[in-house]
Amino acid sequence: MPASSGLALFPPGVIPAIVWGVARLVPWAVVAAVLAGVTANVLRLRAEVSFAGPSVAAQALEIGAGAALIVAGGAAGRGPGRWLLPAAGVGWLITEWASPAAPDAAAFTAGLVAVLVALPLVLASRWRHSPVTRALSGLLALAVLLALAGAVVSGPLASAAASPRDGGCTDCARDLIGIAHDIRLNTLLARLGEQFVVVAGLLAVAWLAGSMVRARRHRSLTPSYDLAADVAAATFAAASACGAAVLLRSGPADTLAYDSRAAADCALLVLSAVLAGFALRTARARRMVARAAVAVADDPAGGAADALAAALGDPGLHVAYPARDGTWHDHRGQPVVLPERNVTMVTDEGEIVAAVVHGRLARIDYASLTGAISAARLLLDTERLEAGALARVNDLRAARQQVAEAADAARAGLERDLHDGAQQRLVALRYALGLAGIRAARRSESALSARLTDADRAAEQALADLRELAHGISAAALDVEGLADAVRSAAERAPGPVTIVELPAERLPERVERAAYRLIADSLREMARAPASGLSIAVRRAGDDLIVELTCDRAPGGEWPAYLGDRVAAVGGQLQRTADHGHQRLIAVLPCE
Amino acid sequence: MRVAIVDDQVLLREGLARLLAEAGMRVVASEGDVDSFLGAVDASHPDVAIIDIRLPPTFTDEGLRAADLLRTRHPGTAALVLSQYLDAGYALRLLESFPSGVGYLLKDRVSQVAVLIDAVERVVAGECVVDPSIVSRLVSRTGPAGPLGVLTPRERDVLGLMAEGRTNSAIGQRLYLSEKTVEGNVRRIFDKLGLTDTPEDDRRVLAVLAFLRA
Repeated sequence: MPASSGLALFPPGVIPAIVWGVARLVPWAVVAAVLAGVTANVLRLRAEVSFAGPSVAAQALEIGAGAALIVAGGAAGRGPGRWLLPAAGVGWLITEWASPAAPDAAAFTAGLVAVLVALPLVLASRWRHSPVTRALSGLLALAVLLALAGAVVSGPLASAAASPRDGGCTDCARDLIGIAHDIRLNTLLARLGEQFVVVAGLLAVAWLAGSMVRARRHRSLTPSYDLAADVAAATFAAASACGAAVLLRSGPADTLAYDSRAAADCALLVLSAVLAGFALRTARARRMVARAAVAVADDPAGGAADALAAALGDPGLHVAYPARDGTWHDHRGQPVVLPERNVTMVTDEGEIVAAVVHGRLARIDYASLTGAISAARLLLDTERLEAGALARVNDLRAARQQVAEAADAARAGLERDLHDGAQQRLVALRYALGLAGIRAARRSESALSARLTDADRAAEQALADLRELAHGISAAALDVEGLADAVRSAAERAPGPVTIVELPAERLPERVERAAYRLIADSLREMARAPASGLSIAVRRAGDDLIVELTCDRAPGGEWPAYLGDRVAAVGGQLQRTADHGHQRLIAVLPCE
Repeated sequence: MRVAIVDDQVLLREGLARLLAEAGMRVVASEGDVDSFLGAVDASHPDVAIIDIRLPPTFTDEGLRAADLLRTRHPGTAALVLSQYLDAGYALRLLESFPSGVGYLLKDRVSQVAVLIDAVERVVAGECVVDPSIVSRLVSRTGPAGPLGVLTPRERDVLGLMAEGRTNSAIGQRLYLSEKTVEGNVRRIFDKLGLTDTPEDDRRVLAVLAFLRA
């Protein structure tokens, strides 16, 4: 990301996004222009029977609202619901074609059928755009169904029951779907449709109120595109309900009906503006994630989570990847627990490949999120594979650590067995021999006394050997007294001169102390096998690591034995062998965290 | 001489008790864990307690803790701590909390009755007894270029015996020197090594051991 982005007139990525967005708009703009032209002509010829009314300003507002909805809805739409708003815009405009000024019978019939189709389409477009809508979708679903029923009843069925010509409109075009001529049924169905719209509109307003309350409860104080679109959609619903109520009371040519239509127009314009802004933002989010993906490719320390967090403006966002055993890992392969809420699953052909965990206070903007995720898709896939491999590495490391710990436990057990068994019996034997020796001496049995002394010496030697063996197996003092003390004791028993340069005073994690002790004790034991001229031991803390540095003039046996590294690696440490100025050096770095 | 024994192994308790009896001492208590040992000491007031360092429940350093408790509850009772292994760190810990009338010996060293009697008598007399193998290990660890390089061979011998807890007169008898000569040697050793404690201090064993171990 360029650091100078704050100085630019537009954030990076906005201008290309605008160019791309304009290119996408062209087909929609053509459709909108054609429909707007036809509608404008109809309104010019017979304004007195229009929904907009005689005012040219109101007519312009209506045509603008319909055209804007087609263009903005087309530009912003994603996924299966992308046709809903352009269709609503088309429906909004062609409603006016149910007029004697309609260019032909087909247009006239379309206008009759589409009379109430805009409301269900607009409400349905808000179906699954925000968590708030989802939570209250029961109410919205009812509103959509009722509005849809109204549209079906009021348009097609009423037109089928009787055509406007039956109602006395002599200059009206032919109603292509008119099959009966029952004007009473027509009126009944039309009124029923309007009643459905009134109820649907009121439900939609209730849904809006609920969504406002929920939004406040979520403390989402920043006005979001979704909330604004919800408000616009519900205002449209309220204006539609109001218009329908006026139609039911006093017929179409009423100024209140014109005002309601104008209010609905305004709501559609706002909705279009919100969608346009949303489309821009989504395009920008995609752009940002694409850039972030490039940046992450250069810098593996970052991750898809950082890129998505930056692109979506949600600093609390992180990404988890599924393992085969049902657990989740971050991109470093460390296990994470998925929260129950605020999680978006990323799927590939039905299989979950990642989970985006949103910040606690983030308002999830699904369209933006979808764009951002698709832009970061390659990165997510790479990270998922890496996370899987790293998780297996972590498992192996844990398994190796467990093996080392089991070996330690076995050593400690063996040492305890020797201590409590053979060693105690030999001590008891020496006590008995000592006692027998005194008695033999008292009786002046010098030959026996000498034999007992020999036997005691043999027992003493056996005990000394056994003691060294047991101590080589495990240092009982390590766990109690700590690394520094155990290393000093081991150095005291060393077969050659040992210099202790530095030892840490503080206690360290048990596995680190054991690994460091084994490394040192094994090196000291190697001295007995191939005497070195002296070993120098330095153990110190460096940040989160413990550094063990062993130096001698000549490494035991010519070079450090390879097995010394095993124990270091088991705790995730690294072992380095160097030689300089005739000194052999062994440096182990053991992570303490 | 009245002796109390604490060791979790019956075989060793009995073997030791027989040796002590043979040496003319009276075993007034023989227990297997710290609590019953302390109870027995409360009841029988022995002159010296012989304590195994590894005792239940954890079999690590309970013996040292038992010695600490003995020191606080019965300051007049001497302690002889026995162990299968000798650890200079343990010796220092013991001497820090129990600066006089205490001993730390390899468990089987006391199978020689002469050693046993000597150690018991010395701790009861308020001296310190440190196993010679600890001292020889510490002394031999430092090479000729080490801190002991400044000492003459005679001074090294004196230092070793001092670290074992011997008094000046005992050192003199061992090395066929007069007590005055030993005193001079001790003072020179303290000067050369830069030890701050006075050579007459009864904590000198601790000072010398700590120096050797550093």
